[in-house]
Amino acid sequence: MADSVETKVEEVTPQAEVQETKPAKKKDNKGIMDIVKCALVLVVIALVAGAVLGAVNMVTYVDPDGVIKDQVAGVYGVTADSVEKLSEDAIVNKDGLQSLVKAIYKTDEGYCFYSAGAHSKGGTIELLVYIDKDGIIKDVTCYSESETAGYYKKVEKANKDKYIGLNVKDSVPAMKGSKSDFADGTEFIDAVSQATYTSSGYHNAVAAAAYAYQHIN
Amino acid sequence: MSNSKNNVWQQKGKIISNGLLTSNPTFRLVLGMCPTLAVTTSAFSGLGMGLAATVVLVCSNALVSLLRKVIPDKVRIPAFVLIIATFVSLLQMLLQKFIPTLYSMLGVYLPLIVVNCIILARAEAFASVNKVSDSILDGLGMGLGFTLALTLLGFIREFIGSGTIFMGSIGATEFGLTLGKLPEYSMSLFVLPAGGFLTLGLVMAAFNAIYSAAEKKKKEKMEAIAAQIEEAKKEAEDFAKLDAELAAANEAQVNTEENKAENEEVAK
Repeated sequence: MADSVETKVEEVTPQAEVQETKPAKKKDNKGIMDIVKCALVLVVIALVAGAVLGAVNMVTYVDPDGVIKDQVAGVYGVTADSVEKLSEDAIVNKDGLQSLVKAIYKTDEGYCFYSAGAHSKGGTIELLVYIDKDGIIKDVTCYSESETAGYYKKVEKANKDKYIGLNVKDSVPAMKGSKSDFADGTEFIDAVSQATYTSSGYHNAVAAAAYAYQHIN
Repeated sequence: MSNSKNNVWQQKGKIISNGLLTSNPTFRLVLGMCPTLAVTTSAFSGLGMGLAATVVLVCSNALVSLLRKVIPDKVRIPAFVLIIATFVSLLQMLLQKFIPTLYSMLGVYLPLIVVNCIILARAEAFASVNKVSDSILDGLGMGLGFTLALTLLGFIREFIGSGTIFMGSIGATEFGLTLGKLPEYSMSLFVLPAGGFLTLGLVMAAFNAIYSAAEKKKKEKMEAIAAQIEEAKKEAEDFAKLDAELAAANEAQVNTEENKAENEEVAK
């Protein structure tokens, strides 16, 4: 048995070895070609996708500042060009609070505070709080919210009118019956039943704007 | 000719109805549960999510089917994800620009469409082995089935949980119905996650009960038709037998008459 194996091994000539390695090399080449093809297809798809996305992005890009400036201009009855965004140094937020003012826009008629209120149910409620040059809240509009469906509307409907017309030149409003960042002021606004957290978020956003207004000048 | 045309239309209709009813992704296949439970707090967001997924499904199915002979088998899944991600990103940009309310409402679940198992499953199971037109129809059927399910769930949860019907807004236009004092007596549980599970379970059970009843009725009808066909076949066989017997009798009579005539001739 061993002899026969030995003879078989001896029978393999160098020519046969060359013949055997040829298909193996071909197989290797095919494998490399496959890998190259796979990579090439993915690269082409990625490049085309990138080009399409770039083109669409150029068309659909929304400048968030531009959107806010348009809204501010609409509320104060001025042109959007006359709305100025103040530098971040002008923003004063109360120490240790989660509610904060993110940006301030100024016109000749008053200010707009882009404010995020903490302690709401689904994250933060972001509002645009318009306070005129005399310190009176002119309007409060929603920039973004992710509260449970219907809750934000409920709170806005119940509380918005309580804030509009309020003079915040000297005191920052507070809210009773809810987790509020601003509990040191006059208590006059009730949280909406069933929507206590959303009420807190709404209130805190307005209160943060009022606090920033007091420290702006 | 018209028969084959009818067959083609029937086949196309079957592909669409498959996604809508027979293999409804939410109620029958129980796929894509994450957005189903999270986004259906209102009918508007359910409809928006469903339509967004439908657009991605149709477009990705079409492109996957178109490139099915070009994409090597080994990299088909990354290629599908790349294609789906492109369409999702396009949709995200368009929604942010034109329907920002819906964009913020769908939140994180919009980009998550990329890994939605319905879309990946249809790309892998259907679009990669079928022609473009059928793949588009399959995407449309599955997408509409998903939309139908999400809108229905959103409608029920919104009505019971918030006391409103189809509240939403597109641009400055707000729409929806608030039914008197119903919002004051609404059951908030239904717009919370627990309510999502409850509603989904109940609607799924109802859908499957109705579907099973309809299937049973259809089966009974088919069985009745099959029995009628069998009976008609039997009758036809009986008639054929009778015909054969009658023919044999006639032949025998003719033979007898011929014999009689022959005998008479012989006798003469």
